[in-house]
Amino acid sequence: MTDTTVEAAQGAPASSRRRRELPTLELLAFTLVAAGLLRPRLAGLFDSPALQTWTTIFVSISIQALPFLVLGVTISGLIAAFVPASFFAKVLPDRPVFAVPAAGLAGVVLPGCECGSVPIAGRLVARGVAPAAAFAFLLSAPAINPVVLVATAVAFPGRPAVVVARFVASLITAVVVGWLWAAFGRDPWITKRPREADPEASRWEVFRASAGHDFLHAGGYLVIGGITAAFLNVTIPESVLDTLAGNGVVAVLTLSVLAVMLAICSEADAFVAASLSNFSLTARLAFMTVGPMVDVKLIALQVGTFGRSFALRFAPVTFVVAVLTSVAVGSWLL
Amino acid sequence: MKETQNAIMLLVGVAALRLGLTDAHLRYVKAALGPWLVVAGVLLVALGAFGLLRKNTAAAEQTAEHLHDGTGPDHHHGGPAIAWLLTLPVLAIFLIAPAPLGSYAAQRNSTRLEAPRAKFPALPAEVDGAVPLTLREFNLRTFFDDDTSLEGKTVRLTGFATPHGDNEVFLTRFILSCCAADGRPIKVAMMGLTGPRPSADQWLEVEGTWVKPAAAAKERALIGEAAGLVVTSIQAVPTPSQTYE
Repeated sequence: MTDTTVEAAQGAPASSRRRRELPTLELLAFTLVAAGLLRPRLAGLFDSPALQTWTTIFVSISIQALPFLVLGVTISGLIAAFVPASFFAKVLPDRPVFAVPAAGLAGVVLPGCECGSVPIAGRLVARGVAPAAAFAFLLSAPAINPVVLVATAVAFPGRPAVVVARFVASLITAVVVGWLWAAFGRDPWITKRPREADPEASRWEVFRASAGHDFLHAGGYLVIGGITAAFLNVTIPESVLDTLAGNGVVAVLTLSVLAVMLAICSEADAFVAASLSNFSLTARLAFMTVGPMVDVKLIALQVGTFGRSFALRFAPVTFVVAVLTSVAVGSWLL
Repeated sequence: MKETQNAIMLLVGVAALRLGLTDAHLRYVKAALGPWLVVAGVLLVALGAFGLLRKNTAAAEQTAEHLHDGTGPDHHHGGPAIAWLLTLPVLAIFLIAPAPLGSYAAQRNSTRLEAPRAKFPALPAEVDGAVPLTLREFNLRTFFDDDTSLEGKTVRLTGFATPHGDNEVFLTRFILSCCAADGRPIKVAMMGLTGPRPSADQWLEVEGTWVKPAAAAKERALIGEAAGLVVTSIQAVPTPSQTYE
Protein backbone atom coordinates (compact mmCIF):
# COMPACT_ATOMS: atom_id res chain seq x y z
CA MET A 1 0.00 0.00 0.00
CA THR A 2 1.66 3.17 -1.16
CA ASP A 3 -0.37 5.84 0.58
CA THR A 4 -2.28 5.85 3.82
CA THR A 5 -5.07 8.12 2.58
CA VAL A 6 -6.50 5.42 0.36
CA GLU A 7 -6.44 3.00 3.24
CA ALA A 8 -8.06 5.44 5.62
CA ALA A 9 -10.77 6.24 3.12
CA GLN A 10 -11.59 2.58 2.65
CA GLY A 11 -11.60 1.74 6.34
CA ALA A 12 -11.99 -1.82 7.51
CA PRO A 13 -12.04 -3.66 4.17
CA ALA A 14 -8.65 -2.27 3.24
CA SER A 15 -6.98 -3.33 6.45
CA SER A 16 -8.56 -6.77 6.37
CA ARG A 17 -7.41 -7.11 2.80
CA ARG A 18 -3.93 -6.31 3.88
CA ARG A 19 -3.99 -8.99 6.53
CA ARG A 20 -5.31 -11.56 4.09
CA GLU A 21 -2.59 -10.95 1.55
CA LEU A 22 -0.87 -14.19 0.56
CA PRO A 23 2.35 -14.68 -1.36
CA THR A 24 0.12 -15.79 -4.24
CA LEU A 25 2.65 -15.46 -7.06
CA GLU A 26 4.92 -17.85 -5.16
CA LEU A 27 1.93 -20.11 -4.56
CA LEU A 28 1.20 -20.16 -8.29
CA ALA A 29 4.81 -21.02 -9.11
CA PHE A 30 4.79 -23.75 -6.45
CA THR A 31 1.56 -25.23 -7.84
CA LEU A 32 3.00 -25.37 -11.34
CA VAL A 33 6.26 -26.97 -10.23
CA ALA A 34 4.46 -29.49 -8.04
CA ALA A 35 2.08 -30.37 -10.86
CA GLY A 36 5.03 -30.79 -13.22
CA LEU A 37 6.79 -33.14 -10.81
CA LEU A 38 3.60 -35.16 -10.30
CA ARG A 39 2.98 -35.39 -14.02
CA PRO A 40 3.64 -39.15 -14.45
CA ARG A 41 1.30 -39.96 -11.58
CA LEU A 42 -1.33 -37.51 -12.85
CA ALA A 43 -1.32 -39.01 -16.32
CA GLY A 44 -1.84 -42.47 -14.82
CA LEU A 45 -4.75 -41.18 -12.78
CA PHE A 46 -6.49 -40.05 -15.95
CA ASP A 47 -6.14 -43.40 -17.71
CA SER A 48 -9.72 -44.34 -16.94
CA PRO A 49 -11.65 -43.80 -20.19
CA ALA A 50 -14.52 -42.01 -18.45
CA LEU A 51 -12.19 -39.53 -16.76
CA GLN A 52 -10.18 -39.14 -19.96
CA THR A 53 -13.36 -38.34 -21.93
CA TRP A 54 -14.45 -35.91 -19.23
CA THR A 55 -11.09 -34.15 -19.41
CA THR A 56 -11.25 -33.98 -23.22
CA ILE A 57 -14.69 -32.38 -23.13
CA PHE A 58 -13.75 -30.02 -20.29
CA VAL A 59 -10.64 -28.81 -22.15
CA SER A 60 -12.66 -28.56 -25.39
CA ILE A 61 -15.33 -26.34 -23.85
CA SER A 62 -12.68 -24.11 -22.25
CA ILE A 63 -10.62 -23.84 -25.45
CA GLN A 64 -13.62 -23.30 -27.70
CA ALA A 65 -14.92 -20.50 -25.51
CA LEU A 66 -11.56 -18.74 -25.21
CA PRO A 67 -11.50 -16.75 -28.50
CA PHE A 68 -15.10 -15.64 -27.96
CA LEU A 69 -14.42 -14.66 -24.37
CA VAL A 70 -11.36 -12.65 -25.45
CA LEU A 71 -13.46 -10.93 -28.13
CA GLY A 72 -16.08 -10.12 -25.49
CA VAL A 73 -13.66 -8.68 -22.93
CA THR A 74 -11.84 -6.72 -25.66
CA ILE A 75 -15.10 -5.03 -26.65
CA SER A 76 -15.95 -4.56 -22.97
CA GLY A 77 -12.54 -2.95 -22.36
CA LEU A 78 -12.89 -0.71 -25.41
CA ILE A 79 -16.32 0.45 -24.20
CA ALA A 80 -14.87 1.19 -20.76
CA ALA A 81 -11.96 3.15 -22.23
CA PHE A 82 -13.35 4.92 -25.28
CA VAL A 83 -17.18 5.09 -25.23
CA PRO A 84 -18.52 7.78 -22.92
CA ALA A 85 -21.63 6.94 -20.90
CA SER A 86 -23.47 9.74 -22.67
CA PHE A 87 -23.19 7.83 -25.96
CA PHE A 88 -25.61 5.12 -24.86
CA ALA A 89 -28.01 7.69 -23.45
CA LYS A 90 -28.03 9.29 -26.90
CA VAL A 91 -28.47 6.19 -29.09
CA LEU A 92 -30.91 4.23 -26.94
CA PRO A 93 -34.50 5.41 -26.56
CA ASP A 94 -35.30 6.75 -23.08
CA ARG A 95 -38.28 4.53 -22.35
CA PRO A 96 -37.55 0.85 -21.71
CA VAL A 97 -40.55 -0.11 -23.85
CA PHE A 98 -38.52 1.01 -26.89
CA ALA A 99 -34.98 0.65 -25.55
CA VAL A 100 -35.42 -3.10 -24.92
CA PRO A 101 -36.33 -4.12 -28.50
CA ALA A 102 -33.70 -1.74 -29.88
CA ALA A 103 -31.00 -3.36 -27.73
CA GLY A 104 -32.33 -6.82 -28.58
CA LEU A 105 -32.03 -6.12 -32.30
CA ALA A 106 -28.54 -4.70 -31.76
CA GLY A 107 -27.51 -8.26 -30.84
CA VAL A 108 -27.35 -8.96 -34.59
CA VAL A 109 -23.97 -7.21 -34.79
CA LEU A 110 -21.98 -9.35 -32.35
CA PRO A 111 -20.60 -12.37 -34.23
CA GLY A 112 -19.90 -15.02 -31.65
CA CYS A 113 -21.28 -17.36 -29.10
CA GLU A 114 -22.67 -16.72 -25.68
CA CYS A 115 -19.51 -16.43 -23.57
CA GLY A 116 -18.60 -13.07 -25.11
CA SER A 117 -21.88 -11.31 -24.50
CA VAL A 118 -21.92 -11.60 -20.68
CA PRO A 119 -18.92 -9.31 -19.99
CA ILE A 120 -20.21 -6.84 -22.60
CA ALA A 121 -23.63 -6.70 -20.93
CA GLY A 122 -21.91 -6.23 -17.56
CA ARG A 123 -19.95 -3.30 -18.95
CA LEU A 124 -23.10 -1.77 -20.50
CA VAL A 125 -24.84 -1.86 -17.10
CA ALA A 126 -21.79 -0.25 -15.49
CA ARG A 127 -21.88 2.48 -18.15
CA GLY A 128 -25.42 3.39 -17.18
CA VAL A 129 -27.40 1.51 -19.83
CA ALA A 130 -30.80 0.47 -18.45
CA PRO A 131 -30.35 -3.13 -17.18
CA ALA A 132 -33.48 -4.25 -19.06
CA ALA A 133 -31.93 -3.16 -22.37
CA ALA A 134 -28.53 -4.66 -21.53
CA PHE A 135 -30.19 -7.99 -20.70
CA ALA A 136 -32.14 -8.02 -23.97
CA PHE A 137 -28.79 -7.62 -25.74
CA LEU A 138 -27.21 -10.29 -23.53
CA LEU A 139 -29.89 -12.81 -24.53
CA SER A 140 -30.31 -12.00 -28.20
CA ALA A 141 -26.69 -11.49 -29.31
CA PRO A 142 -25.56 -15.15 -29.17
CA ALA A 143 -28.71 -16.41 -30.88
CA ILE A 144 -29.51 -14.05 -33.75
CA ASN A 145 -26.12 -13.00 -35.11
CA PRO A 146 -25.33 -13.87 -38.75
CA VAL A 147 -22.76 -16.56 -37.91
CA VAL A 148 -25.26 -18.53 -35.85
CA LEU A 149 -28.07 -18.09 -38.39
CA VAL A 150 -25.84 -19.28 -41.25
CA ALA A 151 -24.77 -22.29 -39.16
CA THR A 152 -28.44 -23.06 -38.55
CA ALA A 153 -29.20 -22.87 -42.27
CA VAL A 154 -26.33 -25.26 -43.01
CA ALA A 155 -27.47 -27.70 -40.32
CA PHE A 156 -31.06 -27.73 -41.62
CA PRO A 157 -30.61 -27.74 -45.41
CA GLY A 158 -33.74 -26.97 -47.41
CA ARG A 159 -35.64 -25.82 -44.32
CA PRO A 160 -35.35 -22.01 -44.15
CA ALA A 161 -38.37 -21.98 -41.81
CA VAL A 162 -36.12 -23.32 -39.02
CA VAL A 163 -33.78 -20.33 -39.41
CA VAL A 164 -36.68 -17.87 -39.40
CA ALA A 165 -38.26 -19.58 -36.40
CA ARG A 166 -34.96 -19.48 -34.49
CA PHE A 167 -34.52 -15.75 -35.18
CA VAL A 168 -38.09 -14.89 -34.25
CA ALA A 169 -38.26 -17.07 -31.12
CA SER A 170 -34.90 -15.82 -29.82
CA LEU A 171 -35.68 -12.15 -30.41
CA ILE A 172 -39.14 -12.42 -28.84
CA THR A 173 -37.69 -14.19 -25.79
CA ALA A 174 -34.96 -11.57 -25.36
CA VAL A 175 -37.42 -8.68 -25.64
CA VAL A 176 -40.03 -10.26 -23.35
CA VAL A 177 -37.44 -11.00 -20.65
CA GLY A 178 -36.12 -7.43 -21.03
CA TRP A 179 -39.62 -6.02 -20.59
CA LEU A 180 -40.26 -8.32 -17.61
CA TRP A 181 -37.09 -6.93 -16.02
CA ALA A 182 -38.19 -3.36 -16.77
CA ALA A 183 -41.57 -4.04 -15.14
CA PHE A 184 -40.65 -6.24 -12.18
CA GLY A 185 -36.86 -6.30 -11.88
CA ARG A 186 -35.17 -4.56 -8.97
CA ASP A 187 -31.70 -3.10 -9.05
CA PRO A 188 -30.66 -4.50 -5.61
CA TRP A 189 -30.83 -8.00 -7.15
CA ILE A 190 -27.75 -7.04 -9.16
CA THR A 191 -25.26 -7.47 -6.34
CA LYS A 192 -22.16 -7.23 -8.48
CA ARG A 193 -21.24 -4.92 -11.31
CA PRO A 194 -17.94 -3.93 -12.85
CA ARG A 195 -16.31 -0.93 -11.23
CA GLU A 196 -16.12 2.16 -13.37
CA ALA A 197 -12.60 3.22 -14.19
CA ASP A 198 -10.59 5.93 -12.47
CA PRO A 199 -11.23 9.07 -14.57
CA GLU A 200 -7.59 10.15 -14.19
CA ALA A 201 -6.06 6.96 -15.59
CA SER A 202 -4.93 6.88 -19.22
CA ARG A 203 -7.33 5.27 -21.68
CA TRP A 204 -4.88 2.52 -22.50
CA GLU A 205 -4.50 1.76 -18.80
CA VAL A 206 -8.29 1.66 -18.38
CA PHE A 207 -8.58 -0.72 -21.33
CA ARG A 208 -5.84 -3.01 -20.03
CA ALA A 209 -7.19 -3.13 -16.50
CA SER A 210 -10.86 -3.56 -17.54
CA ALA A 211 -10.26 -6.20 -20.20
CA GLY A 212 -7.87 -8.12 -17.95
CA HIS A 213 -10.19 -7.99 -14.97
CA ASP A 214 -13.23 -9.05 -17.01
CA PHE A 215 -11.29 -11.91 -18.57
CA LEU A 216 -10.03 -13.31 -15.27
CA HIS A 217 -13.42 -12.96 -13.69
CA ALA A 218 -15.56 -14.39 -16.48
CA GLY A 219 -12.90 -17.01 -17.27
CA GLY A 220 -12.94 -18.38 -13.75
CA TYR A 221 -16.71 -18.84 -13.85
CA LEU A 222 -16.48 -20.28 -17.34
CA VAL A 223 -14.25 -23.03 -15.92
CA ILE A 224 -16.95 -23.90 -13.36
CA GLY A 225 -19.47 -24.10 -16.19
CA GLY A 226 -17.11 -26.23 -18.29
CA ILE A 227 -16.54 -28.69 -15.45
CA THR A 228 -20.30 -29.07 -14.95
CA ALA A 229 -21.17 -29.36 -18.63
CA ALA A 230 -18.45 -31.97 -19.22
CA PHE A 231 -19.73 -34.00 -16.28
CA LEU A 232 -23.30 -33.96 -17.61
CA ASN A 233 -22.08 -34.66 -21.13
CA VAL A 234 -20.34 -37.85 -20.01
CA THR A 235 -23.03 -39.06 -17.61
CA ILE A 236 -26.39 -38.51 -19.35
CA PRO A 237 -27.36 -41.86 -20.89
CA GLU A 238 -28.61 -41.55 -24.42
CA SER A 239 -31.24 -44.26 -23.97
CA VAL A 240 -33.17 -41.95 -21.64
CA LEU A 241 -33.50 -39.41 -24.44
CA ASP A 242 -34.97 -41.92 -26.87
CA THR A 243 -37.79 -42.86 -24.53
CA LEU A 244 -38.78 -39.20 -24.11
CA ALA A 245 -38.83 -38.21 -27.78
CA GLY A 246 -42.35 -39.40 -28.61
CA ASN A 247 -44.56 -37.28 -26.35
CA GLY A 248 -44.96 -33.69 -27.60
CA VAL A 249 -44.77 -31.75 -24.34
CA VAL A 250 -42.25 -34.09 -22.71
CA ALA A 251 -40.05 -33.85 -25.82
CA VAL A 252 -39.97 -30.04 -25.65
CA LEU A 253 -39.12 -30.06 -21.94
CA THR A 254 -36.49 -32.78 -22.40
CA LEU A 255 -34.56 -30.90 -25.07
CA SER A 256 -34.90 -27.62 -23.18
CA VAL A 257 -33.36 -29.17 -20.07
CA LEU A 258 -30.74 -30.91 -22.22
CA ALA A 259 -29.75 -27.53 -23.71
CA VAL A 260 -29.17 -26.18 -20.20
CA MET A 261 -27.06 -29.17 -19.18
CA LEU A 262 -24.91 -29.65 -22.29
CA ALA A 263 -23.88 -25.97 -22.69
CA ILE A 264 -23.04 -26.32 -26.37
CA CYS A 265 -21.74 -23.23 -28.17
CA SER A 266 -24.53 -21.42 -30.02
CA GLU A 267 -22.63 -21.75 -33.28
CA ALA A 268 -22.72 -25.53 -33.02
CA ASP A 269 -26.02 -26.30 -31.31
CA ALA A 270 -27.95 -26.34 -34.61
CA PHE A 271 -25.90 -29.33 -35.76
CA VAL A 272 -26.67 -31.21 -32.56
CA ALA A 273 -30.33 -30.24 -32.90
CA ALA A 274 -30.36 -31.55 -36.46
CA SER A 275 -29.05 -34.92 -35.27
CA LEU A 276 -31.78 -35.21 -32.62
CA SER A 277 -34.10 -36.12 -35.44
CA ASN A 278 -36.48 -38.34 -33.51
CA PHE A 279 -37.63 -35.22 -31.64
CA SER A 280 -40.20 -32.82 -33.11
CA LEU A 281 -38.97 -29.65 -34.84
CA THR A 282 -40.62 -27.57 -32.11
CA ALA A 283 -38.65 -29.44 -29.44
CA ARG A 284 -35.46 -28.83 -31.41
CA LEU A 285 -36.36 -25.15 -31.77
CA ALA A 286 -36.66 -24.99 -27.97
CA PHE A 287 -33.20 -26.59 -27.73
CA MET A 288 -31.76 -23.85 -29.95
CA THR A 289 -33.63 -21.01 -28.22
CA VAL A 290 -32.87 -22.05 -24.64
CA GLY A 291 -29.22 -23.07 -25.20
CA PRO A 292 -27.70 -19.65 -26.03
CA MET A 293 -29.69 -17.98 -23.22
CA VAL A 294 -29.65 -20.41 -20.30
CA ASP A 295 -27.05 -23.12 -19.73
CA VAL A 296 -24.81 -24.19 -16.85
CA LYS A 297 -21.85 -22.25 -18.25
CA LEU A 298 -23.90 -19.07 -18.74
CA ILE A 299 -25.47 -19.32 -15.29
CA ALA A 300 -21.96 -19.52 -13.81
CA LEU A 301 -20.90 -16.48 -15.87
CA GLN A 302 -23.99 -14.53 -14.78
CA VAL A 303 -23.39 -15.37 -11.12
CA GLY A 304 -19.88 -14.03 -11.56
CA THR A 305 -20.86 -10.86 -13.41
CA PHE A 306 -24.13 -9.83 -11.76
CA GLY A 307 -24.26 -11.86 -8.55
CA ARG A 308 -26.12 -14.92 -7.31
CA SER A 309 -29.41 -13.28 -6.36
CA PHE A 310 -29.62 -11.96 -9.92
CA ALA A 311 -28.83 -15.24 -11.67
CA LEU A 312 -31.22 -17.26 -9.47
CA ARG A 313 -34.10 -15.10 -10.70
CA PHE A 314 -32.99 -14.28 -14.22
CA ALA A 315 -32.09 -17.79 -15.46
CA PRO A 316 -35.37 -19.55 -14.48
CA VAL A 317 -37.52 -16.72 -15.87
CA THR A 318 -35.55 -16.74 -19.12
CA PHE A 319 -35.93 -20.52 -19.33
CA VAL A 320 -39.72 -20.41 -18.94
CA VAL A 321 -40.13 -17.55 -21.44
CA ALA A 322 -37.83 -19.28 -23.96
CA VAL A 323 -39.74 -22.59 -23.76
CA LEU A 324 -43.17 -20.95 -24.07
CA THR A 325 -42.02 -18.75 -26.96
CA SER A 326 -40.50 -21.73 -28.76
CA VAL A 327 -43.74 -23.69 -28.49
CA ALA A 328 -45.76 -20.73 -29.79
CA VAL A 329 -43.37 -19.90 -32.64
CA GLY A 330 -42.86 -23.60 -33.44
CA SER A 331 -46.56 -24.29 -33.84
CA TRP A 332 -46.89 -21.15 -35.97
CA LEU A 333 -43.89 -21.49 -38.30
CA LEU A 334 -42.76 -25.14 -38.25
CA MET B 1 -1.31 -9.82 -5.54
CA LYS B 2 -2.36 -8.45 -8.93
CA GLU B 3 0.86 -9.97 -10.23
CA THR B 4 -0.62 -13.42 -9.79
CA GLN B 5 -3.68 -12.51 -11.85
CA ASN B 6 -1.51 -11.20 -14.64
CA ALA B 7 0.67 -14.31 -14.45
CA ILE B 8 -2.44 -16.49 -14.81
CA MET B 9 -3.52 -14.48 -17.86
CA LEU B 10 -0.05 -14.95 -19.33
CA LEU B 11 -0.26 -18.71 -18.69
CA VAL B 12 -3.65 -19.04 -20.38
CA GLY B 13 -2.28 -17.06 -23.33
CA VAL B 14 0.74 -19.34 -23.64
CA ALA B 15 -1.54 -22.41 -23.52
CA ALA B 16 -3.74 -20.93 -26.28
CA LEU B 17 -0.67 -20.18 -28.42
CA ARG B 18 0.73 -23.64 -27.88
CA LEU B 19 -2.55 -25.24 -29.01
CA GLY B 20 -3.22 -22.81 -31.85
CA LEU B 21 0.28 -22.95 -33.35
CA THR B 22 0.51 -26.77 -33.33
CA ASP B 23 -1.87 -29.51 -34.39
CA ALA B 24 -2.79 -30.03 -30.74
CA HIS B 25 -5.96 -27.94 -31.03
CA LEU B 26 -7.35 -30.46 -33.51
CA ARG B 27 -7.97 -32.81 -30.58
CA TYR B 28 -10.47 -30.44 -29.03
CA VAL B 29 -11.92 -27.99 -31.56
CA LYS B 30 -12.56 -27.75 -35.29
CA ALA B 31 -9.60 -26.64 -37.39
CA ALA B 32 -11.12 -23.24 -38.24
CA LEU B 33 -10.78 -22.16 -34.60
CA GLY B 34 -6.97 -22.58 -34.66
CA PRO B 35 -6.09 -19.07 -35.96
CA TRP B 36 -8.52 -17.50 -33.48
CA LEU B 37 -6.78 -19.32 -30.64
CA VAL B 38 -3.53 -17.70 -31.80
CA VAL B 39 -5.15 -14.25 -31.86
CA ALA B 40 -6.63 -14.79 -28.38
CA GLY B 41 -3.29 -16.12 -27.13
CA VAL B 42 -1.36 -13.07 -28.42
CA LEU B 43 -3.85 -10.69 -26.78
CA LEU B 44 -3.76 -12.52 -23.46
CA VAL B 45 0.04 -12.73 -23.42
CA ALA B 46 0.20 -9.00 -24.19
CA LEU B 47 -2.34 -8.12 -21.48
CA GLY B 48 -0.60 -10.31 -18.92
CA ALA B 49 2.92 -9.15 -19.79
CA PHE B 50 2.03 -5.44 -19.81
CA GLY B 51 0.17 -5.92 -16.54
CA LEU B 52 3.23 -7.51 -14.95
CA LEU B 53 5.50 -4.73 -16.23
CA ARG B 54 3.15 -1.93 -15.23
CA LYS B 55 2.98 -3.31 -11.72
CA ASN B 56 6.48 -2.09 -11.11
CA THR B 57 5.48 1.56 -11.17
CA ALA B 58 3.69 3.12 -8.25
CA ALA B 59 1.28 4.97 -10.51
CA ALA B 60 0.00 1.80 -12.05
CA GLU B 61 -0.40 0.28 -8.62
CA GLN B 62 -2.67 3.10 -7.67
CA THR B 63 -4.74 2.90 -10.85
CA ALA B 64 -5.30 -0.79 -10.36
CA GLU B 65 -6.32 -0.22 -6.77
CA HIS B 66 -8.85 2.36 -7.82
CA LEU B 67 -10.22 0.06 -10.48
CA HIS B 68 -10.57 -3.08 -8.52
CA ASP B 69 -11.06 -2.49 -4.86
CA GLY B 70 -14.02 -3.67 -2.89
CA THR B 71 -16.48 -4.50 -5.66
CA GLY B 72 -17.25 -7.90 -4.23
CA PRO B 73 -16.22 -10.50 -1.72
CA ASP B 74 -13.71 -12.08 -4.05
CA HIS B 75 -11.86 -8.86 -4.77
CA HIS B 76 -9.91 -8.56 -1.56
CA HIS B 77 -6.66 -9.60 -3.14
CA GLY B 78 -6.85 -6.85 -5.71
CA GLY B 79 -8.14 -9.26 -8.37
CA PRO B 80 -10.77 -11.95 -8.57
CA ALA B 81 -9.73 -15.10 -6.70
CA ILE B 82 -11.99 -17.09 -9.03
CA ALA B 83 -9.31 -16.56 -11.70
CA TRP B 84 -7.30 -19.32 -10.06
CA LEU B 85 -9.68 -21.80 -11.67
CA LEU B 86 -8.23 -20.82 -15.04
CA THR B 87 -5.12 -22.79 -14.09
CA LEU B 88 -7.17 -26.01 -14.31
CA PRO B 89 -7.59 -26.15 -18.11
CA VAL B 90 -3.98 -24.97 -18.48
CA LEU B 91 -2.72 -27.79 -16.26
CA ALA B 92 -4.96 -30.27 -18.10
CA ILE B 93 -3.55 -29.15 -21.45
CA PHE B 94 0.12 -29.33 -20.46
CA LEU B 95 0.12 -32.24 -18.03
CA ILE B 96 -2.65 -34.59 -19.08
CA ALA B 97 -3.04 -33.60 -22.75
CA PRO B 98 -6.31 -35.56 -22.98
CA ALA B 99 -6.72 -37.70 -26.08
CA PRO B 100 -9.34 -36.95 -28.75
CA LEU B 101 -12.77 -38.55 -28.28
CA GLY B 102 -12.46 -42.31 -28.68
CA SER B 103 -14.25 -45.61 -28.31
CA TYR B 104 -15.54 -44.90 -24.79
CA ALA B 105 -17.54 -41.89 -25.96
CA ALA B 106 -18.52 -43.69 -29.18
CA GLN B 107 -20.00 -46.64 -27.29
CA ARG B 108 -22.22 -44.32 -25.30
CA ASN B 109 -23.71 -42.48 -28.26
CA SER B 110 -25.09 -42.99 -31.70
CA THR B 111 -25.86 -40.51 -34.43
CA ARG B 112 -28.95 -40.23 -36.53
CA LEU B 113 -28.10 -39.04 -39.98
CA GLU B 114 -30.81 -37.28 -41.90
CA ALA B 115 -31.37 -37.88 -45.58
CA PRO B 116 -29.69 -35.17 -47.65
CA ARG B 117 -32.00 -33.06 -49.79
CA ALA B 118 -29.82 -32.96 -52.90
CA LYS B 119 -28.97 -35.96 -55.08
CA PHE B 120 -25.58 -37.55 -54.50
CA PRO B 121 -22.78 -36.47 -56.85
CA ALA B 122 -20.75 -39.13 -58.66
CA LEU B 123 -18.43 -41.18 -56.46
CA PRO B 124 -14.86 -39.86 -56.20
CA ALA B 125 -12.25 -41.59 -58.38
CA GLU B 126 -10.60 -44.78 -57.19
CA VAL B 127 -7.14 -44.50 -55.63
CA ASP B 128 -5.06 -47.70 -55.66
CA GLY B 129 -8.09 -49.81 -56.46
CA ALA B 130 -10.55 -48.42 -53.89
CA VAL B 131 -12.75 -45.34 -53.47
CA PRO B 132 -11.70 -43.30 -50.42
CA LEU B 133 -14.78 -42.13 -48.50
CA THR B 134 -15.52 -40.58 -45.14
CA LEU B 135 -17.58 -42.71 -42.76
CA ARG B 136 -20.37 -40.16 -42.95
CA GLU B 137 -20.51 -40.27 -46.75
CA PHE B 138 -20.45 -44.07 -46.71
CA ASN B 139 -23.38 -44.18 -44.27
CA LEU B 140 -25.40 -41.62 -46.23
CA ARG B 141 -24.85 -43.39 -49.56
CA THR B 142 -25.67 -46.77 -48.02
CA PHE B 143 -29.03 -45.68 -46.67
CA PHE B 144 -30.20 -42.83 -48.89
CA ASP B 145 -28.70 -43.15 -52.38
CA ASP B 146 -31.46 -44.12 -54.82
CA ASP B 147 -28.85 -44.77 -57.52
CA THR B 148 -27.02 -47.31 -55.30
CA SER B 149 -23.69 -45.81 -56.33
CA LEU B 150 -21.82 -48.11 -53.92
CA GLU B 151 -22.94 -51.24 -55.80
CA GLY B 152 -19.93 -53.22 -57.05
CA LYS B 153 -17.37 -50.74 -55.68
CA THR B 154 -14.55 -51.32 -53.26
CA VAL B 155 -14.29 -48.46 -50.76
CA ARG B 156 -11.52 -47.45 -48.36
CA LEU B 157 -12.44 -46.08 -44.92
CA THR B 158 -10.27 -44.85 -42.06
CA GLY B 159 -11.35 -44.77 -38.43
CA PHE B 160 -10.77 -46.26 -35.00
CA ALA B 161 -12.10 -49.53 -33.61
CA THR B 162 -15.03 -49.47 -31.19
CA PRO B 163 -15.87 -52.92 -29.77
CA HIS B 164 -19.61 -53.61 -29.75
CA GLY B 165 -21.25 -56.49 -27.91
CA ASP B 166 -19.34 -59.75 -27.65
CA ASN B 167 -17.65 -59.97 -31.01
CA GLU B 168 -18.72 -57.09 -33.26
CA VAL B 169 -16.41 -54.17 -34.02
CA PHE B 170 -17.44 -50.80 -35.41
CA LEU B 171 -15.14 -48.63 -37.44
CA THR B 172 -15.76 -45.19 -35.92
CA ARG B 173 -15.05 -41.54 -36.39
CA PHE B 174 -16.46 -38.44 -34.67
CA ILE B 175 -17.79 -35.42 -36.53
CA LEU B 176 -17.41 -32.03 -34.85
CA SER B 177 -19.30 -28.82 -35.49
CA CYS B 178 -17.39 -26.65 -33.03
CA CYS B 179 -15.71 -28.61 -30.23
CA ALA B 180 -15.59 -32.09 -28.76
CA ALA B 181 -18.62 -31.30 -26.57
CA ASP B 182 -20.78 -31.53 -29.70
CA GLY B 183 -18.93 -34.54 -31.18
CA ARG B 184 -21.18 -37.21 -32.71
CA PRO B 185 -19.88 -40.68 -33.59
CA ILE B 186 -20.35 -42.11 -37.09
CA LYS B 187 -20.07 -45.90 -37.18
CA VAL B 188 -19.65 -48.63 -39.78
CA ALA B 189 -20.18 -52.27 -38.77
CA MET B 190 -17.25 -54.36 -40.00
CA MET B 191 -18.28 -57.82 -41.21
CA GLY B 192 -16.37 -60.92 -42.24
CA LEU B 193 -13.36 -60.09 -40.09
CA THR B 194 -10.84 -62.89 -39.76
CA GLY B 195 -7.92 -62.91 -37.38
CA PRO B 196 -7.77 -61.28 -33.97
CA ARG B 197 -10.36 -58.66 -33.09
CA PRO B 198 -8.87 -55.13 -33.36
CA SER B 199 -8.39 -53.58 -29.93
CA ALA B 200 -10.38 -50.53 -28.84
CA ASP B 201 -9.17 -47.18 -30.21
CA GLN B 202 -6.76 -48.82 -32.68
CA TRP B 203 -6.75 -46.78 -35.91
CA LEU B 204 -7.49 -48.85 -39.00
CA GLU B 205 -7.54 -48.47 -42.76
CA VAL B 206 -10.19 -50.81 -44.08
CA GLU B 207 -11.23 -51.78 -47.59
CA GLY B 208 -14.42 -53.58 -48.44
CA THR B 209 -17.79 -53.58 -50.13
CA TRP B 210 -21.11 -52.27 -48.93
CA VAL B 211 -23.96 -54.29 -47.49
CA LYS B 212 -27.21 -53.41 -49.19
CA PRO B 213 -29.78 -52.50 -46.51
CA ALA B 214 -33.12 -54.30 -46.52
CA ALA B 215 -35.88 -52.66 -48.56
CA ALA B 216 -37.42 -50.75 -45.66
CA ALA B 217 -34.04 -49.70 -44.35
CA LYS B 218 -34.38 -45.99 -45.07
CA GLU B 219 -35.59 -45.65 -41.51
CA ARG B 220 -32.43 -47.19 -40.17
CA ALA B 221 -30.28 -44.09 -40.25
CA LEU B 222 -32.98 -42.45 -38.20
CA ILE B 223 -32.62 -45.00 -35.43
CA GLY B 224 -28.87 -44.61 -35.37
CA GLU B 225 -27.95 -47.91 -36.96
CA ALA B 226 -24.57 -48.22 -38.63
CA ALA B 227 -24.00 -49.12 -42.29
CA GLY B 228 -22.33 -52.47 -42.89
CA LEU B 229 -19.03 -53.16 -44.69
CA VAL B 230 -17.80 -56.58 -45.81
CA VAL B 231 -14.10 -56.24 -45.10
CA THR B 232 -11.63 -57.46 -47.72
CA SER B 233 -8.50 -55.87 -46.32
CA ILE B 234 -7.67 -54.36 -42.94
CA GLN B 235 -4.48 -52.83 -41.61
CA ALA B 236 -3.48 -50.87 -38.54
CA VAL B 237 -2.38 -47.28 -39.22
CA PRO B 238 -0.95 -44.57 -36.95
CA THR B 239 -3.39 -42.09 -35.37
CA PRO B 240 -3.92 -39.22 -37.85
CA SER B 241 -3.35 -35.63 -36.69
CA GLN B 242 -6.98 -34.83 -37.57
CA THR B 243 -9.01 -37.55 -35.88
CA TYR B 244 -12.40 -35.95 -36.56
CA GLU B 245 -14.36 -35.79 -39.80
